[in-house]
Amino acid sequence: MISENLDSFNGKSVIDFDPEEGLLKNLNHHVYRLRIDYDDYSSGKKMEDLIHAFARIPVIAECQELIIGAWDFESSKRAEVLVQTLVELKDAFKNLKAFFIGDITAEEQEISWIRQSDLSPLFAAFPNLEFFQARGGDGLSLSELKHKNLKTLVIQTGGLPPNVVQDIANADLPNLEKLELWLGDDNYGFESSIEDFDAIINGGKFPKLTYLGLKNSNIQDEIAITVAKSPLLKQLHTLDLSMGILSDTGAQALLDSPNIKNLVFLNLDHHFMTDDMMAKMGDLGIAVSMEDQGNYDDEDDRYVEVSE
Amino acid sequence: MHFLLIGNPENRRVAAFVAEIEALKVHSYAVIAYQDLLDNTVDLAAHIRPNTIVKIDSPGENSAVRKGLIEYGATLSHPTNLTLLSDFGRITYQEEWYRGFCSFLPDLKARLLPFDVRLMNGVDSILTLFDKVATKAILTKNNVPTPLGLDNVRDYETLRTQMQARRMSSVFIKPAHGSSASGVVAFRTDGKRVQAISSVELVKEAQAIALYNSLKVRRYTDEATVIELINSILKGKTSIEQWIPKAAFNGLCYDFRVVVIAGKARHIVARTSKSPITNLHLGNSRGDLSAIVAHIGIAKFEAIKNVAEQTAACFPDCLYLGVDVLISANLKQIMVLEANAFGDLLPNLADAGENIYQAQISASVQKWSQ
Repeated sequence: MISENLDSFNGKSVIDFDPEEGLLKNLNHHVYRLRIDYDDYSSGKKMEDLIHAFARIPVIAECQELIIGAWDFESSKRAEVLVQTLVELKDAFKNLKAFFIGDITAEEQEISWIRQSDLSPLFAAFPNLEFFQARGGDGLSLSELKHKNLKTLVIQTGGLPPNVVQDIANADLPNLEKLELWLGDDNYGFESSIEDFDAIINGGKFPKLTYLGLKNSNIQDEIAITVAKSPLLKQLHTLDLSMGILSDTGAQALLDSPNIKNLVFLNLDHHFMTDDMMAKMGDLGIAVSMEDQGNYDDEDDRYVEVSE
Repeated sequence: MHFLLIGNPENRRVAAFVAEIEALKVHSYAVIAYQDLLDNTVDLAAHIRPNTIVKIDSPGENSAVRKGLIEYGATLSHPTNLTLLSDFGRITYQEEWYRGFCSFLPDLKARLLPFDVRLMNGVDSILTLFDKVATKAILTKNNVPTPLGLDNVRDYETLRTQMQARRMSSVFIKPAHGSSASGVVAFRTDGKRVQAISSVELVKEAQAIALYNSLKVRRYTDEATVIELINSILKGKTSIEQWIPKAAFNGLCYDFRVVVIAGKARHIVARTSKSPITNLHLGNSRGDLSAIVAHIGIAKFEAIKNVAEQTAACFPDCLYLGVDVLISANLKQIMVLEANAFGDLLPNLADAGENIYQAQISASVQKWSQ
C-alpha cells in the first residue's frame, strides 16, 4: 500500500520523468511522476527544478495527471516550495484533473517523516481538479478547502493533525463523491476526538458523497458507532473503516444499524473482531472484506496499520 | 570422480550434497567434519583419491565448531576470554571467529597441498568473502556497482557527520565478518528523527548492553537506544553503505540471490520482505520470480544476472558464489549488496533441470575431468 510506488493512476501507467529524456510516452496512456531519488538528492537536485523542467515541455498543457514522489530526505524542506512552484506554473498545468503529492514508500521515507504544508493554494490554482491525494500529516493543512469540481479527496497520514480535521469539517466541496482519511495514531499527530468528526459524519456537508473512508484510526470503534447512527449511510455505497483498531464494539454498532444494508461494500480489513463477530458480519448480505484479523485478546496490543 | 566435502556432518547442507552424489551413482565421496580437523584426528590420505574435488562448506550452525575456530585463532598476542560463548544468540567474537577461520583455512590448504586435489572454492577467496570491507574493495576495483560507502566510521557521531556531509539520509551498517544479517542495522534520519531497523535484540545489562541475534526485525526510534546499538556494532569492523530503497512488488520489497556457477548466473530467487532486511530466515519468503521479471522487464533481469557474473569473475578461483543484487525503487540502479562463498543453500530450486548441488557437481566434472 505504501510499500510501493504507484504503477497506475487514473487508469494510466505511471512512469518517472527524466528531464534528460523528456517526454517519451503518450499522455493519453501514461502519467508522469516527478521524484527526487536518493542519488539525485545527494547530488543536490531539487524538486522545484524538476517541476520547471517538466512544465517547459509544450505538450504538458494537455497533461491531466501529475504525481509528485519524494522531494526531500531531511527535515529541511516542507512541501510549501513545491506548492508555490506549481501555483506559479498553473497555466502550464491548466488541464490538471488528478494530482497526488507524496507517492513515497515507507522505505524511502516513513509517512510521519514526510514534510507537508498548506496544500490549499493548489485547489485555487487548478479549477479542473477532480482527484486530489496527499500523503503525510506532518505540517499538513488545507486552510481554504473550496473547490467546485473536486470529486475525490484522499489524505493518507500516520496521524492526521486536528487542524486538518477542522479544515475538512469546514470544507466547501459540493461535488465530493469520495472522501478517504487515514487518521492514524496519537503518537504521530492525531489529536481529535469523535465529536470533531460530527460535521463530516452528521453535517450533511457532502451531498454527493458515496464513498466514506475514515480509517487507520485509533478511535475506529467510535467512528463505526457514529457512522452507524448517521443518515449519511443512506447515501453511501462504500464504507471503509479498514486499517484501524475496529473491535466487536464498533462492529456490533454496524450490525445494528438500520441503514447498513444500503451499502454495496463494507471494508473492515485490518481489524480486531472475534471469529463470532466476523461470522455475523459475513451473514450481513452485503460485500464485507475482513482480511488481516489481529489478535483481539489483548486490548493493549491493538495498533493501526500505518503510523510511523 | 571423487568428492571430498568439508563441513558439519549433521548439517542439512552436507546431507543434501551427499544425497546428490549418491543419486548419480558414478562418483565416490568422503566427508570430513570441521570438528575432526580442529581436533586433528583426521588422516587426510584416507579420504583423498587421485583427482579429488574438495568442497569446503559452511562451518556454521555448530557451536562446538564455532568455539573451536575461535580458539584456533587465539594466540598469546590475542588471548580470548570465551565466557560469553555459551550465551545463546549473543553477537560476540565475530572478529575472533574470523581470525580463527583465517588461521584454520590456510593450514587446511597447506595440508591438502601434497595431494592431487582441486578446490571448488579457493581458500583465499573464501576468506576475502568473509570480509565485507575487503570484498567491496575488490568489487569496486573491478567496476562492479555497489552502493556508496562510508569509511573510517567508528562511532555514531562520526556516522551522523559523514552522512550529513554526503547528504546521505540512510545507511546499512554491516559487521564485516557477520553472516545471515547478524548485527546488520539499517539506519536512517531526517536530520532530527532517527530510526534503526535490525534483527538485533538489545538487552541492557548492569554495566553495558548485550546484543543478540533474533528472528524478528525490530524498529528502534529512541535515539539513546539507537546510539547504544550503533556504537556497539561500530566497535567491530563494519561495512557501511548507502541504504538504497529497493524495488517493491505486490506490497513487498525485494532483491535477488543469484547463484553463479562456473561463471554463469544460474539459480535465482527473489527475496521479498516487508522490511529492508531481506534474509530469508527472517520470516521473508521467495517471491514469484517470473512475475517480478515481467514487472522489471527482461533487459533489467539480464543486467542483474550480468552484475552477478561480473562479481563472480572477481573471484576466479570460486566455482560458485551466491551474489545478492538489488534493483532500486525507481528500477534504475542495479547494485551488488553481498557476495557469499557459502551462498548456495537454496533447496528445491532448479535451473536447466539441475538443482544447485547437481549443477556444482556437473560443473566440476566438466571443469576437472581428465
